[in-house]
Amino acid sequence: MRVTGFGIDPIPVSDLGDAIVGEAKDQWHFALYNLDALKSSLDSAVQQLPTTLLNTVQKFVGDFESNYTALLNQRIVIGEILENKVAPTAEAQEMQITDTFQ
Amino acid sequence: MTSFSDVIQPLLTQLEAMSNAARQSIQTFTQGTTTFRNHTNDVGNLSSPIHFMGQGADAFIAAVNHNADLSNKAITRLSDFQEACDDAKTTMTDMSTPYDRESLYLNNVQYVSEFANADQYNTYEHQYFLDAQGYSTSDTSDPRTTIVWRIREDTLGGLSFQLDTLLNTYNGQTLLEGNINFAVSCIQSDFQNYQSKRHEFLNGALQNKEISKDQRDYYALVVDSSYNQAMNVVNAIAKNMTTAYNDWDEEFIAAANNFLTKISNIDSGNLAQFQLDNKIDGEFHDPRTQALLYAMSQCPYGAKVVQYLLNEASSSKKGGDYLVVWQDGMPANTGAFNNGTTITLNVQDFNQYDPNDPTSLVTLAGYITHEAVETYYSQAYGIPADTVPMDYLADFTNQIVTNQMLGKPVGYYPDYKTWVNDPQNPPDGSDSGYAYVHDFHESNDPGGGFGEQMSHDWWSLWNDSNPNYAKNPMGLSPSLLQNDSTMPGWDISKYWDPKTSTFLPVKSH
Repeated sequence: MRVTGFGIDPIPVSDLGDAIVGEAKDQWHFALYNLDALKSSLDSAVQQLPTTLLNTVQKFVGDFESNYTALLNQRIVIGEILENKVAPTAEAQEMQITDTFQ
Repeated sequence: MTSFSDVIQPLLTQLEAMSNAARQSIQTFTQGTTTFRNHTNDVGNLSSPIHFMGQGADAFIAAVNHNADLSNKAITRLSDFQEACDDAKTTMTDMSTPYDRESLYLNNVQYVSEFANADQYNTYEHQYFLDAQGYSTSDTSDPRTTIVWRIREDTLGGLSFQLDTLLNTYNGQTLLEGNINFAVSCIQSDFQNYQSKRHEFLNGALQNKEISKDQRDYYALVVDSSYNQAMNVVNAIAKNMTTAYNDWDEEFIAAANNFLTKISNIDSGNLAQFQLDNKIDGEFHDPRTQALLYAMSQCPYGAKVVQYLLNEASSSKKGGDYLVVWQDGMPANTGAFNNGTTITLNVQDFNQYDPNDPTSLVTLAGYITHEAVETYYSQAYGIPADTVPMDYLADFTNQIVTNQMLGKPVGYYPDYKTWVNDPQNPPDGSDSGYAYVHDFHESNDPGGGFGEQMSHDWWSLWNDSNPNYAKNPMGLSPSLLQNDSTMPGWDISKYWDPKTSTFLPVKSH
């Protein structure tokens, strides 16, 4: 169930949880799939580059991939927090989110 | 016919493939990030609130927005990458086109006349160009063009597999000149074959008495002179092609370097730094504090000090602006101080700040590190800041951060006895405890009635101790606060691991 957040009526928490978890399992995981596709396309092209250009481009692709993977994983953590309806603790919540960037 | 675009086509294809992959992902990721951010609104519209503990829904919403901000920044970088690929492809294609025009190579090259009369024993310059390895003069109004074609085909054919060589100025030009010289030698060989055939033809005519010996000798001279004229044309064309090919290679290298510079400047590895800068901005609103913490976060132990201050600020109701304050009216380089919670920095010290040089804040970074160490012990254990062992440790952390910011090793640090007894400002540049003892009359006892006698675990007797205060990212423990009576020959630098920028556990003596 998609919850827009623009309705006049308040949104039941369970609906929101379901919607966001659904997104986490669908759209956000799909984003990871898209990221894999991007990486695989770029890797394929990068490997055929002259060696002179290879390292710099490869570093960019690797950095982007690891950074964006961390961001997407963080979204999944956020989705899981909502799925459980209750964040474990503020500290745990913060740890779960920040640790993906370390 | 091989063109320069054909030579670089493998690279152009990969640039286009990378651009297309990036473009598609930019669209998908942007859409996904927008959808993700919209859930922030949903959380605020719940009929029954989610029972977050601790920081609550606001922290959750902040996390969502922060993630979306970082994602958009990452997507912008991908967009910059795509643009760099497109620019490189366009530049390399456009720069190659002029070099595919034959007329470029015919400047100042003697024209080859196609005049011929009915005298079959005469040899004309243009006849050398007729046997052109598949290139017919009937395809062009200018016989010289066949030479350009031949050299180009012999030169460019295999270059698409040698782009790395071409991307090196010396190797590229050597390769191109070698290829051109080879092509010229092939043409010369063909011309010499034709020259021989003409001599054989004339000798046969003499033998058959079609022409006299004098006539044979005259026509033989014409054969050789026309050969020389033809070779002069070939060499002139080859010279032009060598110059132009080198120019093309220089442009190709410049385009590749420009592409590399753009990719390097995308700064793709610093998302974590961006995130840290955002956190600093969120907790500390004074631009001077922000600039100082940005600069410190670039070095290993400085980043731990920053993390300590961030953790402290986020857990404090009064926030970061209460933890770090600036005071005017003090002379420069008079240090900083704390009251166990708030660190006070000197406005005068910030006058050294150069926005283009983070190391201009190195003195202030050392000061705030010293004070941060002291506030940790004060908050975690209630250990007072104004003791000599505390300053011995805090000055060492000052030295660690300042030297790391300057890209230097932590360097020599004196043992406790030397540090306490040396006069102020010793020549080796290290700090000294002289002032702490003689000017400030600090105690040698960090733990009141406990510290000196209880060795490494005395602090456990403290009531309300909180070793994990602000998560203790600086890795401090009371066991680091020793002096010569608790640990003879005490040398804090022996408990510092420069590889990991952490303090090692102190073994009891």
